[in-house]
Amino acid sequence: MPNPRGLERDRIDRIRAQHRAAFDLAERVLQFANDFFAGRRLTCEDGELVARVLSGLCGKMVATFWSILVLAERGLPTSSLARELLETFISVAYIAREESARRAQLYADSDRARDQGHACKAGRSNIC
Amino acid sequence: MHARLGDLTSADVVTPELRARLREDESRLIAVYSPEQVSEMRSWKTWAGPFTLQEMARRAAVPGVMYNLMYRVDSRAVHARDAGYYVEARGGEGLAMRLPEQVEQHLMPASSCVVTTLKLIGEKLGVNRDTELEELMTQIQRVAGV
Repeated sequence: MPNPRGLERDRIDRIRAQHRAAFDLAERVLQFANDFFAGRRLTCEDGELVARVLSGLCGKMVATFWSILVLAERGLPTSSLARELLETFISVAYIAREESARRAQLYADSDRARDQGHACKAGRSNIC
Repeated sequence: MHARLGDLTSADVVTPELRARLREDESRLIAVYSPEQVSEMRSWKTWAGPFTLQEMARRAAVPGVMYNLMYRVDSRAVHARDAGYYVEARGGEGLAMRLPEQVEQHLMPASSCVVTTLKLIGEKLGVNRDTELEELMTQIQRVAGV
């Protein structure tokens, strides 16, 4: 049996050729999301913490979507990442729609509490 | 169910039959643990504070279709209940593991989710790129065949 990693090149070529329009469009969306704030000074009338949390969630969303693309072009499962992406959307909607300052503070407090002793993540959170 | 009993908006869906089943389930747990331990279990939360996905989605008025597209439908995969997709029966030769090609499973729903999220963030942070976002969403719907 070949090593599955050795199958990737062939899979990528075949799958991308079969679904060219979808991959091209998804890459446009990735590029657009990555450039979304380019050259803009971010402000939020609800305070800097809201801007910080939402910008962080935007970065997380770009990274997660990028991961989905990488797996999808190899024909590998993306369910858990799709779920992570949806949870990012729900967090954004929850904070952005109303009581933004209070909800962003809740988010930051939760982030701070969970970051302690979280060995799986390298580096540290910059929300607070 | 205990949470629902305390929630006036959903208390009416807790039927007498469900209450009886709850009592029966509780009595089984109490026989194994203790009334104190079961009482403590009731206060456990899977997620901290209001940061449960369902609660946040409810409070943010997220449309059910978003939830259904990527969360409920795929919970089977996330919880590893989809083993059937990874095995192949080869008649007299027995079973073989299969590496499926789950192409495009989430590509367009995920693209749609990104565009919708960017719109929300843009509105909040004063970044107006609505024309480009609408054009992308139109293209996504076209490619997805919606």
